[in-house]
Parts: sequence; structure tokens; C-alpha cells
Amino acid sequence: MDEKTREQGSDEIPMHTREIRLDDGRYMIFFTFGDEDKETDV
Amino acid sequence: MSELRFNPLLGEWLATATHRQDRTFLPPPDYCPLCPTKPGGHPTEVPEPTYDLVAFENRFPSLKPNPDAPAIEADGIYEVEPSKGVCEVVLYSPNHYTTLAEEPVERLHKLVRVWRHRFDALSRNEFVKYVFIFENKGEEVGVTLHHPHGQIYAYPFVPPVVKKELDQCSNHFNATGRCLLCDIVEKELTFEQRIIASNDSFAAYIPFFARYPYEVHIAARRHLSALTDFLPNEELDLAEILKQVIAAYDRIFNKSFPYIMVVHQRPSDGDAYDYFHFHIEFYPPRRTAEKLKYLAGSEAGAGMFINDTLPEVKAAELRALVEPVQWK
Repeated sequence: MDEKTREQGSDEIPMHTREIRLDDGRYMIFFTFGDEDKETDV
Repeated sequence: MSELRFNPLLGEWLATATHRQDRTFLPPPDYCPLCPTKPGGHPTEVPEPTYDLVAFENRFPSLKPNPDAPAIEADGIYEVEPSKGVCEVVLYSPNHYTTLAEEPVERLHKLVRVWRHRFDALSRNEFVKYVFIFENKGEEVGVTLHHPHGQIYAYPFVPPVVKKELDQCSNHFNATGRCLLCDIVEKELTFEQRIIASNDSFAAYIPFFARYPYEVHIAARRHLSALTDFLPNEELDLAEILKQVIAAYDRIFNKSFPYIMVVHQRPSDGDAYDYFHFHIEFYPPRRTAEKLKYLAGSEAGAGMFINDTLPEVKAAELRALVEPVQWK
């Protein structure tokens, strides 16, 4: 899978996206919120 | 096979998508394709052990960025086009058993921000003319997967319902110099009896012209045409009023309340739509705890809805069920 990480916007809580490619070529974007090195509790 | 065919009688495009006949249909929770893939567990569509919110291309799309050639050729009045577009799924939570109504308002705020991100990103595709965000909730409206999720369709044209609203808003603007939705919001806020909830940025109401007993519209009080126009406080306010409306829905019959939720914003085709106004519409099929509102002869064949209730009465009922939102 290809993987890339980038930050989106900068209001009170930063939103981060991480995009992967599934085996059939479709994209999937994971959204997390909070400090860049700390994923939001789910 | 998938393609777009034009209906010359109505002047509308429709999609054929025969592969969708084979899509996953109401699987047991252990085999839900939208849950995270737990270590040692059944592999799902999401190859990670957990997630917060996720957006991805639908496995059974009716529109694709690189579609196959149509199965049939155009023939005179019968126009055919490849089904070019994007169909995304948005997963609201890794928890299979929750609903948006049951989630804390903070998660709805995250969802609003994800919507904005996807609206902005999909709008940048040259072939995308309209980004349509929606949620089907409940088997009553045809849901095939119970995992809490919504969808986004990026169409290669402006779809007919939105086109009709655009035309009405344009006509009103040309006649009065005013935005039609601004006038509707002002009228509903002044009349008060159809208001469900309101805050600094939004009003929720069952409109004067509601077609369904519990049809709620949420419209911005400021003239906004798309999610990308929102200020941060407006994203918070939208999350809050969404939470109030859908939580109140669940209190009507003390059970999960089915609905279709649609987000209407300006098209993404590059033209100016200053006269259009962001709003969300809910079409709940339930009219009593046991009875559904069906689209029958007059609704489906003539386009005239018959509402068996008065919006003023249903608004009072729903307004009494709205509770304050608690932010953590």
C-alpha cells in the first residue's frame, strides 16, 4: 500500500489525513484529530 | 456494467449499475465489511485494527473516476455517457452498534470537518460538477449495511433536485434581489411555530412546505453557499444543531429513527451561485411508530406530495424533545 501523511487546516484541534491504496486501487483516507504524533482516542 | 442514460421525457440522467445487485446485503455484525479488521478476525474493507473517521471509494460504485465504456451506444434521442464520477463511503465510527444520534457532539464536529475536506477535494476534479453528501439511515430507507456511515457522490452534472432549487433561488433573486433561503429562514424564525432548534449560526425547522411529517431543514442564518464558506464557530454550531435534531428524532418513538439526510450546497462546476444557500434536509419515512410514508401514485407519478400532518403540529412535538448539547 502507498501511504502519505499530511495535516489539514489549523483550527482549534488539528485534523490529519493519512491516505492508503487498497489492493484493488481504491483510495482510503483516515482522519485523525489532535496533536500530530498522537491519534485521537476512538 | 455501469453507464449514464438520459431520460428525454424528464430531462434527467440516471445511472445503470448492474454490479450493485451483488453488493453485501445486511450481513451479521461479525461479518460487517465496514468494521475495523481486528487481529485474527474477519478481514473487512478497512485493513486497520481501529480508526476514527474514514472516507474511501465505494466498492460497489455507480460512478467511477475511470468508468468502462457504456454497454450500449447512443441512438438519437437516447443519449448515453460513461458513468464518470466518484462514490465515497464515510465511516462515522469504528463502533458497529452506534449511530450518529448516539455519538457525542464532538464526533459530529469531526464529521462536519471531514465533509468540508471531501467537498473541497472532490470539487477540484475537473469532471465533477456537483458534490452530494448524504446519509441513508435504517432499513426503512434501503440501508444494506448497519455500520454507521454516510456517502458522498461526486456527479458529472448538477442533479435534478438541486437544479430545481437553483432555478427557484435564481428566479427569486432576480425578482427581489434577495436570497430565497435567507427569506425562508427569516420567515421561519419570525413565525417561530415551526422552529425545532436554533443557535447563532443555524436554524432547524419543519418548513411551511414540508412533504414528510418529520421533514426537518437546517439552514445557515448567514448567507453561506458551501461548507468551504464556514468559519470555525459555524462548524461547531452545525455539529450542535445536527446533534439536537437527530437525538430528538430518536426520542419521538423511543427507538432509532430512520431518515435520509441530504446536504445541499452550490455546484462545483466553476460557475457563480451567489444566490444559493447552504442547507441540510431530512426526509424521514416514518409517520407513526408503526406506519411509513410511502411514495405512492401522486408522489411518484405526479410529483405532488400529500402530507398527512401539519408542520406546525409536528414541529411542536419535535421541539419538545430537543435537549441542550453537552460539549466535553
